[in-house]
Amino acid sequence: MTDEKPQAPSAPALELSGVFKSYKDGPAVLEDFSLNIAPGCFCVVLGSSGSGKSTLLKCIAGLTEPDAGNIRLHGTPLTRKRLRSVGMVHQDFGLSDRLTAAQNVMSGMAATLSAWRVALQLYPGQIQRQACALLSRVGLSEDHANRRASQLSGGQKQRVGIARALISDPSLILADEPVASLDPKSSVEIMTLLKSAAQERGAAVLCSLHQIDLARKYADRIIGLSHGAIVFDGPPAALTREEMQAIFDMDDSSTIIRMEVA
Amino acid sequence: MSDVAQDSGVRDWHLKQPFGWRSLLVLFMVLAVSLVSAERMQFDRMASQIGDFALETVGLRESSQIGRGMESVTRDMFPIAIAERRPIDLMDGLDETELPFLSHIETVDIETTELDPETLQMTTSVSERRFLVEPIGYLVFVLGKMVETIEIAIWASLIAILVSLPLAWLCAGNYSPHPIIYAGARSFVSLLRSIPELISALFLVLAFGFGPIAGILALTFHSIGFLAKFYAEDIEAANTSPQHALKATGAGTFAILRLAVLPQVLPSYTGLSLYILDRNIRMATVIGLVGAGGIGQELKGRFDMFQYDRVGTMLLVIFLTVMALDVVSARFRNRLV
Repeated sequence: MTDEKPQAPSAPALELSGVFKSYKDGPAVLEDFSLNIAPGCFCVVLGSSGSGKSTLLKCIAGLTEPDAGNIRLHGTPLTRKRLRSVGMVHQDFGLSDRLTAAQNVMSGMAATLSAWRVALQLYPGQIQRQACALLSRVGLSEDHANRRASQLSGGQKQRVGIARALISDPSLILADEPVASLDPKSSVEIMTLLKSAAQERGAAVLCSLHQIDLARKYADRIIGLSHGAIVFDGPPAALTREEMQAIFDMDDSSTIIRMEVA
Repeated sequence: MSDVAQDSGVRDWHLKQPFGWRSLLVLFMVLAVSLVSAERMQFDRMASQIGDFALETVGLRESSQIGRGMESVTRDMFPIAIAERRPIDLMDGLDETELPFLSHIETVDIETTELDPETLQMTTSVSERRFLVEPIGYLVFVLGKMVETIEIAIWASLIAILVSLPLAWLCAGNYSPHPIIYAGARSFVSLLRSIPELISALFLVLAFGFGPIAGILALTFHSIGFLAKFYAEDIEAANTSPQHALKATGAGTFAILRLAVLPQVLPSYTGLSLYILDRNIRMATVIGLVGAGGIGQELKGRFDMFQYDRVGTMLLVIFLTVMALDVVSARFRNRLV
């Protein structure tokens, strides 16, 4: 994996330029979208449902093809092989319910293994040890590691999801609404874990959220997205009430305040 | 309450009713079609025959067609044949010092009366005929045939499962490598499913001769047609969340199918495969009728020779086997799913 390390440290961890994306018969979701993310930056994409947050992350993760535009990782174009140095955390966890937590974590390395190893789920010892270390890092025990994913709680599932995203030693972690289906306490725990784990590895994070309070608390940089366009870009402290209104498309600023309190 | 409804203007609302005049029309049409069809299917004759049989059973009639038909079979069927009795002079290479297990030799004197052509008088001669009697010989033979039938079904199911797994990949709309391959695989599978086992067995017996090969292949073809279709539909309906997660790690199609799809569909695959095994065992008893091995072949032979006591033994064995399998497969399914 040494060849996939950043070639030029000065190059942005992620660089999008002129990305267009529209779905069948629909209006453009992303239109001439450009964005640079510095290495090690915890960047939160804030926006309401349908603002294009998910589409943006899916384009970067290779889950959907952009209609046009360039996506570069540390200065080199993103190919399927390069995708291995991008980890992703999903809103609905994306775990195979009937596999154990450890097997789910190790499946993050399946792309590098031969077909027979994948077929028999025979992971090399090094990957097994790495999975154990990561599961322990995200706060799970040996007992959890050998439990089926379906027997874990929501918060535990997302911890497994984070461990899987980390196992390929990514330089960029994408997180698509990682706490949308969790309770407030778990949400804070997961966001803290995501941030500290990324910091330890110097990985950049692009995390989509719709909770303003969480965005303010964890982000180094907030990108406000509305109808596929950037309406705010700056540190959390610079985010004003008017800009929040613009992000969430609301006429009544009191609604925002109530949301913030909640 | 009615005041509220009038004031708020909801009186103009129309709610969908569970059925209307269109449903009634359809009902009448179905009724008309089934009347015509029932006439073509000779339902009237069925009714009169069953009526006659009912009258005979309560003693109001001397005889009925059903009664005569049933009697001719049941009269010969009981007691069912358990023992096997064969004349020794027709058996080659029997070592009388070492008889088969549990068997003995029975000697019977047979008197034959015939006309002496020279003296023109009736003479009686006594000849001795010897039989080898095996008290449970026929039952053992039938059980052996039943085991052969189950073997046919297990092999057919096993081969069908192994072929259907990769075939399902080509038949699943979301993983098929190319639309042409998808269409080709789907039509191939439909073709296999559309040929009844009994008919393909008929042709396979011509190609491979009498015996289990034709049976195994006939059952395999039909099972592939069933399993590949339903395996593929399970793949298509699988939860996409783990699949997307694995795709985002850069994994290829095989890894996604193995790690994100197979664990999800495994319980359903087990259920489908057990169903196919269950069905194949029942079908394997039938396809022997056209010579494709197993107990059916023996059944057809004895039926055609009017040896209904032996037919009875086989029917009993088949009935008990299918019942036992029902119990076993139900337990197996409960443990797995």
